[in-house]
Amino acid sequence: MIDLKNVGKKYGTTTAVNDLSLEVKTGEICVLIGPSGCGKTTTLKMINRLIEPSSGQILIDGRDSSSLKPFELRRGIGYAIQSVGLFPHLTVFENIAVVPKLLGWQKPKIQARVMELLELIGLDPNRYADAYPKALSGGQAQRVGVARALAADPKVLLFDEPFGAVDPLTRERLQNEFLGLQQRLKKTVVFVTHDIDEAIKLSDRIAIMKDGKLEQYATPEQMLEQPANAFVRDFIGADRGLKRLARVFVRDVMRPSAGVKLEDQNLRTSSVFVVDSGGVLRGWLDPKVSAAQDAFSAHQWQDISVFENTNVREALSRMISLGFQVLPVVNGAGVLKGELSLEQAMSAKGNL
Amino acid sequence: MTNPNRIALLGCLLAVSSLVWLPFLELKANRLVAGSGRRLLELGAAGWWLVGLLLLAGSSAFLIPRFRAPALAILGNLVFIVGIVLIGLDASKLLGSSTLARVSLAPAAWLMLVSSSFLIFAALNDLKNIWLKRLTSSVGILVFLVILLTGGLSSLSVIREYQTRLDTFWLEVGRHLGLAIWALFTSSLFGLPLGFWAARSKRFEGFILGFSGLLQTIPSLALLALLITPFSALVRAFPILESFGIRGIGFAPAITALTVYGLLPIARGVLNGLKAVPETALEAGRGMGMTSVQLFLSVEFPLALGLILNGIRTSAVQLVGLSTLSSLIGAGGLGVFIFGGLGSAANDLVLLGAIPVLVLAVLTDAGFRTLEQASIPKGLR
Repeated sequence: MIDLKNVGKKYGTTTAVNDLSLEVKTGEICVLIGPSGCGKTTTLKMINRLIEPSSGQILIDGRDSSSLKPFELRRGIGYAIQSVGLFPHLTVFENIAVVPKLLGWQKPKIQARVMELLELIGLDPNRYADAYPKALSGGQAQRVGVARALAADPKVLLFDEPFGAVDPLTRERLQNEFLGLQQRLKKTVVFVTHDIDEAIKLSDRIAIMKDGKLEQYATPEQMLEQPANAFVRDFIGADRGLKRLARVFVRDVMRPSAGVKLEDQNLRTSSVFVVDSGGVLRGWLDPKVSAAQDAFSAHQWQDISVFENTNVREALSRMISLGFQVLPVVNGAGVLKGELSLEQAMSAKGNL
Repeated sequence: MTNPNRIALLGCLLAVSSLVWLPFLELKANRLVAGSGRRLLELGAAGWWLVGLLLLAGSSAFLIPRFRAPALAILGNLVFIVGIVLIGLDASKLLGSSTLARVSLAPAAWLMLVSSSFLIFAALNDLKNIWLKRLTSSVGILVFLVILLTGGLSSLSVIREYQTRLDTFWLEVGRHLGLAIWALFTSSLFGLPLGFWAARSKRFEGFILGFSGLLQTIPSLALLALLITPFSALVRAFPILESFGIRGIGFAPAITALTVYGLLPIARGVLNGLKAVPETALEAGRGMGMTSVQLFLSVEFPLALGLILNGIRTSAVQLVGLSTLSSLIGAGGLGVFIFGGLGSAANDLVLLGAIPVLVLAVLTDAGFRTLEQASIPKGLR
């Protein structure tokens, strides 16, 4: 648990952060968000004392952070930044091993841990352990940055726009991977971003700041339903209904679908989707065409489906771009799991 | 048709025309009087070999690159070697049995040597294989060293000067190196921390850069002369210093002046090196819990090392050159020959000092460059 009590930071006469109190529960992701200069990054850096607070107190798992030496405190807190900051003269392995080495771990333990982390972030250890940062793509470098933050298995992670510098596609993939990791690891995370969609997607709670002050601290659902004031409402944007859908997953609203087997296309039962003997999606049947062989159009499942763990907002956007009223829902292997209709997607907006 | 290699072509034209029209060697009745020039072809029919080789090299500049590079590499080295051999043979022929007469190189010989380096340079540009490059650039020099050491050039005036000063020559080379090495040491002693502080403090950085610019404008000769007075006064005030070899003239003021010039490239190298370390790497390092000492040793220093060594190299090469001036305040070094030769209008004595300084500077540069390359972390190459 991270507990900020009346924390403030002044530079001369300017107040960067003003009397901020915030409690981040163990195992939760708290996203700090706000316009540039609102004090979100300052707040984050006060937690690991890269910036010393001018006033107030920060407790990490009940312990006053000022009772430790800054470097001791930081070794227990994972830290990843937007520019990644991998050490260019060290290999991927050595970069990830920095904190374990600082903590004096034995070599075999470091070796095992780094390999485990490379697997965890989906980089082949044989190929990437001895590579230098310049050989990595932007997304790979960000993954290594996250692995480096996780290296010594800290309970607390501080992320300063870690996915800010990559293209939107990669960012979305990194966000999904991060959510998957967090489900397993249950870290206490403070995450700074200026992207409200990222905040809604990743957070358990959002702290929205303006001019060094906390405007609202609530779950994304609460914030979308009841913005505390005009600033929060404006910052979230007009499409609150749509954003709300980002918090609902397809698996929670879809209906089951068996699909039609390739070999019995004539039996147009309940579904328009065609699967092979293994259940993998192969295409769809056009209900307006009567002759069976003309009705079938074959597709790669990746091109026409969404995953169970896709959020409804993305599914809706997919529906619109494909022009479908019903989307097939598959698992990671392309096996048809169900289908999502437009009405179902709309019903997911709950009581907004 | 491919474009001819212009460097090689220019070199050949330069050499052939100078060999035809300009004197190749100069004969003087003794080391001080003015001499008379002899053209290469006046010295014997063997000269035609050299002209022939140069013409062949000139026409090979028109070959397609695949054949041109090896042709130029071979012909460039051949021109150089045949040229050196001819210089040695013709010089001894010209000298005859006279003990007072001197033979020295005249413009055509120098231009021929320059031209052969043009050819080799052109070949090095075209060659891809690193080992062929090394071979091309070293064969001529190795053969030259063999000819030199076996006495093939002993009729040349410079070698005569060397032989008559055998004992003092190596002493002065040693002194020269001693001056340069000590000065590099003291320069590093002050320059490294100065650069470090400059990188840590914005105010100090401005001071260092301004001061460095100012000091570089003081003529080095003037600085040497200016130091004589304070050092003499110092020794008068504290006579004990004299027992450490400190005097108004000689080693101590020379090292002091050299240090003034040598420390600034070093300080700048450290400053530039530390400033070039990415801020993000520093933030990441601090954020992960490195102490400032750990951050310096494992992040800043390895990343800055290349530029630090670059500064030390600049300083070292400058010091090898500047040490020449130290002879003017009695600290010895190869300047003894240069200024002695200038004073007595004996050009070959000047060369006896100047050529080793040049060689030392080139070797220093090459040595530090190798060190620099080796120090660049693999991830940055």
